[in-house]
Amino acid sequence: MMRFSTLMKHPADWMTGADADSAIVLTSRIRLARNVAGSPFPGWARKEERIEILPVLREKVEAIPEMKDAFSHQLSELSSVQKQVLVERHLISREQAARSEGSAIVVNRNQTLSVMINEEDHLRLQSIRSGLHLREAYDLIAKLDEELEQMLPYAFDHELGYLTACPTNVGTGLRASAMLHLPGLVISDHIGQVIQAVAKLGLAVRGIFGEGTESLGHLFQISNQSTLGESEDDIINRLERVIQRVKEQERNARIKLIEDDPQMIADKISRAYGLLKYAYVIDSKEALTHLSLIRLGSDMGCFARETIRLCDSLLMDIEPAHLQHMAGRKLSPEERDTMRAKIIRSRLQNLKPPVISFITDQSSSNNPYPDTPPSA
Amino acid sequence: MQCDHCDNKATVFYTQIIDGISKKASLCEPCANKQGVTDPDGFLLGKDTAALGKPSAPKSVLQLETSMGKESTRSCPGCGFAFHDLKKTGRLGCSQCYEFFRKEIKNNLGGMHKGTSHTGRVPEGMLEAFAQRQRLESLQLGLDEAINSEDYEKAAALRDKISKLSEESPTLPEQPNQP
Repeated sequence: MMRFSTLMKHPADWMTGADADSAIVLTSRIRLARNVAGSPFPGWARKEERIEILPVLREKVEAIPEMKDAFSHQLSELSSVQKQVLVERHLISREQAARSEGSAIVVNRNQTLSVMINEEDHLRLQSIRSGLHLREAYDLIAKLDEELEQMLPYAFDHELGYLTACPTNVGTGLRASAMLHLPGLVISDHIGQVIQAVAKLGLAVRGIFGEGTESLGHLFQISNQSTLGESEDDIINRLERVIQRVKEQERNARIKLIEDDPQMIADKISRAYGLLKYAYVIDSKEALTHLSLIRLGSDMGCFARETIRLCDSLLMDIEPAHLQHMAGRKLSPEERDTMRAKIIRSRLQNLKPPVISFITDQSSSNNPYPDTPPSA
Repeated sequence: MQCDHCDNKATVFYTQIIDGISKKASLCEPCANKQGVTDPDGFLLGKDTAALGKPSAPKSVLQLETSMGKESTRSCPGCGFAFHDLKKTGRLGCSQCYEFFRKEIKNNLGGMHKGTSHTGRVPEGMLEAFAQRQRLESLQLGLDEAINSEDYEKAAALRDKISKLSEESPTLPEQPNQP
């Protein structure tokens, strides 16, 4: 069985931006909610009932070929920091992290598939891919689902489809989502319109690291709300079309920023570079905002292309539980801010200063008096 | 700013926009956790009327909770869940609850989802029964129409088809056992 330390040492490809085209869409995720007939949903079940059904479910999940030598643990075997690390890696939900006995997590070796057992539903099957690949992610998880349905009597209704603890998931039990990096739309102040338009189509837009009005690190998650009355294909196709559209708008916003105000964007990127490289105390919000600008700069050619991957691993590694896991002990917020700054400085050590190629001499950066013709 | 639910200082500000209608909530962390807004995979705002402000709030579980009739005192024979428990938990008790509270649940699904019946994947073992059930339903629909338009010849033919199909019918999983 895979150990926690192994899981930590080898982050999944999707966590570090493996896809060549992950500059705007970082990851695609599919989740299926499934329950077994004849047993109460985990939230309503008595503790003994949860404990009783857990080994039955876990044995079947572990028996699937894709889950060979998986990371498989009861939540009660994990420390609170370890659970939080798994949340920060999107492998378990916050709801599951709050559970202990009678709940388990099974993650395949390359961390592309995870199965939460006795979370809100008996089974939550999840698949994550780098870039915009919802279809691929679905195909992977559908295979897992097909293997499980041979072994377990799913709770299924002729009219309502797959039955789930919460009526908002009933039907396909499918939640498809993608994580998008949208600094162009945020800086150009068009993000509000885009969110409104997406929401009008019945899709949800959320921030990634906080549920405030402003999303941290310019990261947004778009997902379907409706799970009933549409086929899996319809849901995925609709979402993919919308995300493709948002991606184009972000692309255009970035081009327009460079055309309209190259000084401003060069200033933001360069300041972010300076700040991250020389800060000794930095909180999560500030770090994410500036890392977002470095990420944007990499896409605009200011830094080497691989810098995007560097940013993506940093985004994860500077989160509170990751820091505490690295330190091997609980850290106060002040200690975390210091350690966060230290890690960022060391990771960015070899990052060369930004090359601002989109400011040409014509755009007068070198001539402080554009109206005065240079003397002959 | 004060939390919408208690006297604590609000630290979580949540805005949700669905179908162009935006709702805002200011919550302290314990209340936010209770509401599920800190769960990234979480639940719609509006599980509790207090956080909502506007009664016109459309599609959410709120409707499920407020529109329960007198029947809400009944309990699911499978797990003892009473429909008003949904207000507390936001979740149903077991898969049998869907059978037992079918009417109440169905009445409210329309606002939450694109449709009210499943059109997606069916588990392999249930495919045949599922197809059969759909054929029967569409025949029944035709029969109702024929009766309404007083086309009794057509109605009789459809009725015969239905009874023939029902006889051949394989045992359907999860037959409704009406309370």
